Amino acid sequence: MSGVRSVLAGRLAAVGLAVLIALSCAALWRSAQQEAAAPVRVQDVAASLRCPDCQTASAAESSSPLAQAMRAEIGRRLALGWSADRIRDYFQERYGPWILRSPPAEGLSLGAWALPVAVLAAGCLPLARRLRRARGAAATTGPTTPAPARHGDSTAERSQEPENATWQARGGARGRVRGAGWVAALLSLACGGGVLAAALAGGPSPSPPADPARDDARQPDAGGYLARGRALQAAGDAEQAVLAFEAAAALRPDDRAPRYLLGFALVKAGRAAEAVTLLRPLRARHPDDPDLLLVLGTAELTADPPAGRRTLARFLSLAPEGHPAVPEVRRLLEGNPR
Amino acid sequence: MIPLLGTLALASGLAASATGAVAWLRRPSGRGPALAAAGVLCSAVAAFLLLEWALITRDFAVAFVAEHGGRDVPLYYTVTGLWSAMEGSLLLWLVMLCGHAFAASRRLPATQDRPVTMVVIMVVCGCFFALTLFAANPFEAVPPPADGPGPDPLLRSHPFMGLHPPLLYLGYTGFCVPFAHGLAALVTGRAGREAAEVMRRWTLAAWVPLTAGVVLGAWWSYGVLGWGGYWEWDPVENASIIPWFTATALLHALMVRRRRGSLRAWTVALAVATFLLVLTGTFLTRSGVVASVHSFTRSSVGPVLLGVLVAVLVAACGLLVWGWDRLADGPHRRADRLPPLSRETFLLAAGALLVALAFTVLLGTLFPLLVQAVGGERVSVGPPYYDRMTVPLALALLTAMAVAPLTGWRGPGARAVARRLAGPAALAAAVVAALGFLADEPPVPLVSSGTAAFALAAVAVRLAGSVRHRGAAALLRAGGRRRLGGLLAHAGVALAAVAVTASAAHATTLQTRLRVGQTAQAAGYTVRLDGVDRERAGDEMSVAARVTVLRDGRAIDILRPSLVFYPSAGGSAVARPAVRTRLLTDLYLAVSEVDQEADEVVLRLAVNPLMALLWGAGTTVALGGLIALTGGPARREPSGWRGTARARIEEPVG
Repeated sequence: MSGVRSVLAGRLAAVGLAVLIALSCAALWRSAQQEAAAPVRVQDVAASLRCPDCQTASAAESSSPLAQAMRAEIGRRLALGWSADRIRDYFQERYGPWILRSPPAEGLSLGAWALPVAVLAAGCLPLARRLRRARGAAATTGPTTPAPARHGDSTAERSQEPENATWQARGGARGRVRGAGWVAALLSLACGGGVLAAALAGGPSPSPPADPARDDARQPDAGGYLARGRALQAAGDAEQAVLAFEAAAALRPDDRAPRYLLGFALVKAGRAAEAVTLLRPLRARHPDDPDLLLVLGTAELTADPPAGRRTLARFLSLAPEGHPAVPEVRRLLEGNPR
Repeated sequence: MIPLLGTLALASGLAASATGAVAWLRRPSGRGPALAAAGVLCSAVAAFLLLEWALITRDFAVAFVAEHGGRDVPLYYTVTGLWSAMEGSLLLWLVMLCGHAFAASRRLPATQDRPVTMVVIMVVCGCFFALTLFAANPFEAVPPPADGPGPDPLLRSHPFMGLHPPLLYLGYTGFCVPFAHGLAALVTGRAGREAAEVMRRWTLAAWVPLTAGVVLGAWWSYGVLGWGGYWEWDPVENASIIPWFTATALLHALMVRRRRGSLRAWTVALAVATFLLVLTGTFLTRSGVVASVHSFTRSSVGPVLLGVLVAVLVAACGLLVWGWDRLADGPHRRADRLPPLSRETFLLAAGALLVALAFTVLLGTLFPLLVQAVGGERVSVGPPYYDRMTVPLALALLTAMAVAPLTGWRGPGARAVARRLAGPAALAAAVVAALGFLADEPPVPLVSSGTAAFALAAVAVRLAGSVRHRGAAALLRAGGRRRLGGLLAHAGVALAAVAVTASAAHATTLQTRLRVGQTAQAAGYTVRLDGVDRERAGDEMSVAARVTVLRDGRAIDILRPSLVFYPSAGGSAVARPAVRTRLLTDLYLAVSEVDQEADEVVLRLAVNPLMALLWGAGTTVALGGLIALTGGPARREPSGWRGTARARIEEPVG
């Protein structure tokens, strides 16, 4: 009687489990449907893109002007009915694959996606081979699989590593001597490789490179100042940011980017006139650089509004299709028609 | 005086390492080798204490103190200031490394492979003494400035600064011993079960602090970096998690090796790889080749460290190739039949998954560099990549982790395993169905919660089985502590999966500009900016937002997130978030901008669920490791075991 009852209980439990699993599958299916039908959000697309003037932040979390402009642009294009992928492609065209926070699955970057899968497959290969052998063995020895398995186990148990035997079987002293030669050769190779790598990477000398003309020796400092300037600006300390960007601009006299950042920082620090004096000489040399026109125009808008509107209008005419600042500037100019 | 003494200590450490290496090679049984190991440790400790003394007494004639000390820095952050920059953190590294070297010289069983192991350890110690002495000597004498800038602002705003780096370094350097032991196995061909037991102990001894260090690192970055999250797949974070993956794979492969005698070459390769990955991570993060929020230092140590890394890499890989055949499973073992539902199957699968995880994270960290090196376009690898790649691997790993302990070594048969798994499977299905129909969760959190529930229930089933079989007291006795530790660690991992899923899917963040008197709302909380306070204490200036937290119209707390400036350190302001931690949710406030006049702040507000559970789960994992480490006296004394033997050739954790 109790036997029947326990069989019944087992059946019932199995049925219950099957129902639960079916329910969970239905829940998964439903949630997948819901996700596919849900509208794409600006934050989701922005989270997959980098903020161009930050170190690691995404366009979704950064409060930099460029990231804000990007979010506005994403929103506008989503409203036009663009898909998330199309918007990403669009930004990739403008900035290169660097703007994507996960490498595109094409060209060299395909490696980032394919190699881990290959490693996992390689890792599972021995396992698969041994499992297949197990099945083969089961097929030949019939249904009594546990017995041979236990047998294998006990041999493993008993053959408690005749370690020294292995070592001696390898040829005792002679093997040892041959081994010593090998190890010595390997060690010298290793040391050689290490020294070579250190030398190639810039020499083991602890003193800073003596040659002041070497550009790469100074680049990191400029980069450091730029990063510090951005951080300060993000933290709301425009005055300190100006100092950092000034240092960066001085270190990279041929690079215009630090000057633009300096210009923006000056405007933020309420020193728009200084930004105008800094940037006007540059415009004489690069009259068609939209980024320069954007910074200069912003600065002039405070210091000399008519000139600012002219410069920004010129920026609009020169800016490449979809420059993230275009909508903002357009709104600004349309708001003050003159 | 201190510059001279410190440099002398480093030089004597180098000399002692060299002597030790020779002594272990020539006369491993005499007193010389032990003395050399003690000398190495004493030198490292002396150098460490001298630098601490110089920092505390503000001896600005010492280069490191001039660059990273400061008169107004509080005592605690003066002490922790030692590891806030490259040169000092190398000293901390040396102390930990030499501590492990000394412990190994005392505790390794006097078998044939001990001299080789000790020679390798001594050589590694020597390399790091030389690196510190010649490329990053903190004791250089400089004309003393009147005051120093103090440590990096980010590294002096959280008390974990005194815990997280030392624990992490304790773990990192600890892997030197399994590494050396693995190389010794390659040279001597000695890789039996006693050797596996030795390697397990030393690996676990490093794994426990590494686990704690990784968890505290996430906690620290949550409390300091001010963006509301705890893991950003930053290169420095990756450098700590990669060896954790391989070390975990190693611990589990060692179970198979001790039980079945197989996987000898594989465990040795993992032990070697783990330490190599530690060195690679150190190189990556200390040389500044990858941009990181943690790039506190940029120095000339990079090339030398790269040299050491390449030398160790070439030597280790050469030895692996040379000794592989000697360690590879013999033909009888290779032909061994593996029952599909046996524990070995799942441990092998888990090993493959862990290695794939380590590889993915390493590849992601290096990929931008690799692409640039072969002349490709600049690419970035950020959290979306890691999330997409690691989540499926982690879920598969969780499943393997849940199933493996419920199977037996000999494969108890499909029916028995299915009966044990029925409960966990039912719970997982119920969780998925409930969350899917009642809470409208998206698919990924659904699958993750289901898997975590499955893993958690599997641990409970295993625990119940153990208690029924042997009684609860048996788990607490030395013999059962390995099993108990393993179960605790598994429970911690499953709980961490729950917390990570919840915080990834249900964090609410909001960035808003508030004037005094204005309010903002997020996830049931209302925050009101009541004022902005400026303060000056010691060498730090802070601007704190006084924020009242309301729930259902009732004030429940006052939080003061702030921005801190250290004028002497050169100006960059760091956020100091304020966190209100409760059992189920955290309210996280950080200020990112303060308007100079108008008393207006930009406030970042995050409501993160289950953060307390995450920290608890991380602690549980480390605690599990610790308990497993204390477990298990020898059932029989293997020959040549020193002192109270701790080897136990018995059923392992799980």
